[in-house]
Amino acid sequence: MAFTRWVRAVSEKQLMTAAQTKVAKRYGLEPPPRPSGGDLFWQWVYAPVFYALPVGLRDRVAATMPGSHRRTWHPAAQASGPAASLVREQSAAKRPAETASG
Amino acid sequence: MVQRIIVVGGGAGGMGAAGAAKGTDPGAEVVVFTEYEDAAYSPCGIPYVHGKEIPDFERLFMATKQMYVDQGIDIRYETAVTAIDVKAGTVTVDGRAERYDRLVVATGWDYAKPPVPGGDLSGIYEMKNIRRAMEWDKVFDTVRQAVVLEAGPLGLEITTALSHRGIEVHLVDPTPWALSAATDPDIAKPIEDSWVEMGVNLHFNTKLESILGDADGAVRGVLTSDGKIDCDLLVNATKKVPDTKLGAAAGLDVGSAGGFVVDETMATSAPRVWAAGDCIEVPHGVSNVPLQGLSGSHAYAQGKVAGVNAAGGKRAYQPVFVPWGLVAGRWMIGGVSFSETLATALGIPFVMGVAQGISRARYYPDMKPIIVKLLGEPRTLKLIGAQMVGGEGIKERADFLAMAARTGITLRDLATMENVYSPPIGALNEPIALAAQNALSRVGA
Repeated sequence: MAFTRWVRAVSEKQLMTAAQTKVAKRYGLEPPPRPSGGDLFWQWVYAPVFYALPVGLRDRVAATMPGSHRRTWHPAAQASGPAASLVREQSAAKRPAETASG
Repeated sequence: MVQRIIVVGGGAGGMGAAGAAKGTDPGAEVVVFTEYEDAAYSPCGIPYVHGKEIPDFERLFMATKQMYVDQGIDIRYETAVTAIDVKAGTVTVDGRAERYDRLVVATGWDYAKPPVPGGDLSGIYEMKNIRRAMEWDKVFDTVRQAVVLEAGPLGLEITTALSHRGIEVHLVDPTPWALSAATDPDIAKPIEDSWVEMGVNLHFNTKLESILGDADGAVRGVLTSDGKIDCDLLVNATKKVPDTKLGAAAGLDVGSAGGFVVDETMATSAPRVWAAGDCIEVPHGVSNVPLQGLSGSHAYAQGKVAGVNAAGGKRAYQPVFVPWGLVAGRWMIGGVSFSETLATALGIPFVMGVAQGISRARYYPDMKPIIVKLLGEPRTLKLIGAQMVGGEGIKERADFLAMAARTGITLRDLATMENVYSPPIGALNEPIALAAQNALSRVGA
């Protein structure tokens, strides 16, 4: 397994455990078992440091990981406003004439 | 000159690619290699045959073998590709080289193997191949107690199915609630409660330590962090892991999510090679983090894109917002992108609203409750996630909310959305609008 794959897999698991602990507390549920062994480092050092980092910095680090996100992807172009604006166009067309006659 | 397009894999991605390639270039020679006896069936339907909601496996086949012959797609069944040589433009089959002009790799996924002793015992079922499912379905008639390993989407479906069969089911999962990687405890709770009503035994926060067998090498139980559970069937429903062995050995780049690196055309890092389905990773539309292991509809759509481009056409795939949904226990559950738990895990700030509504007019027969939870980005209030559980209408709402997230719809938009009101199909108040209104009231917007 490539190093970055390992980092992501372990990070994903440990951050989910940290989140499940917080969310379980919010909902009054039994949290995941307390960490032991190697998990102690991830839960007590890695996760707090990860959350203490500014969001922008975390995003930049995530962006440097190898993956499909670093290749070409175009989000779908989004149009805004209604598809047909017949009424508005008619109103706009009328306005100069109305002004002239008024 | 006739171009030769080879597809490795006969699942949703591979067959989507083969059909699209033939449609784009009808003169092309399209050859599919699959290790299995069949192609083009719905593996997603298997749990519902096990659960007796669908009467037989034959209904899961979407096309006959002759239909592919008639379409000019040459499927080589039970034929493994053992190597790819991207420089020579060949794949190795039965020790001989098969030339390709364009190649689509759609090698799919496999279950993560539990790293515990006993994994080689008989009596361990992995729900995937339809022929094996047919054989196992007969075995289920003799099973009294089953352990299902992990409460992911497939685990939820098979737990419900085996319970419908009258089998005593024990669901073992190392995390605190069902589907904990995708959803939140308040959304999972109705399902867990309904399982308990159905007689399912739930073992959350419970780690598998070993699989126990008898003198004949058959599963007879599991040892967990919570003690021993007797069983005569173990269903391994662990996380889907991409099957990238073949492509990785050929030098295709693999990303941090474990899938092949592709661009929007599904092109891999190798020339004239595309990939699709559960063996690739694609960026998430909100976070841009690559994801792997999505649904059959994603695999099929990716296969179509790969097939069109491999055949010389032009089509692009989009970053994903991942609408999902399934039936578990007596409920439907679904969502889009982020849950409260997942956003918390990634440290993504969010505002949230929750509401309970109803699926039809309150006086109409079979009206069902629906709980909707929405997450928005705090500054713009753009929708970044949704979670839902209810008696009906979850799929349509998940599809709608995925499109809402993709197009930048805000919680303000959703709070004032118009909705269909007709007593048999929709209530006066749309639960999505109620959840959005709740979110706005929480932030004073």
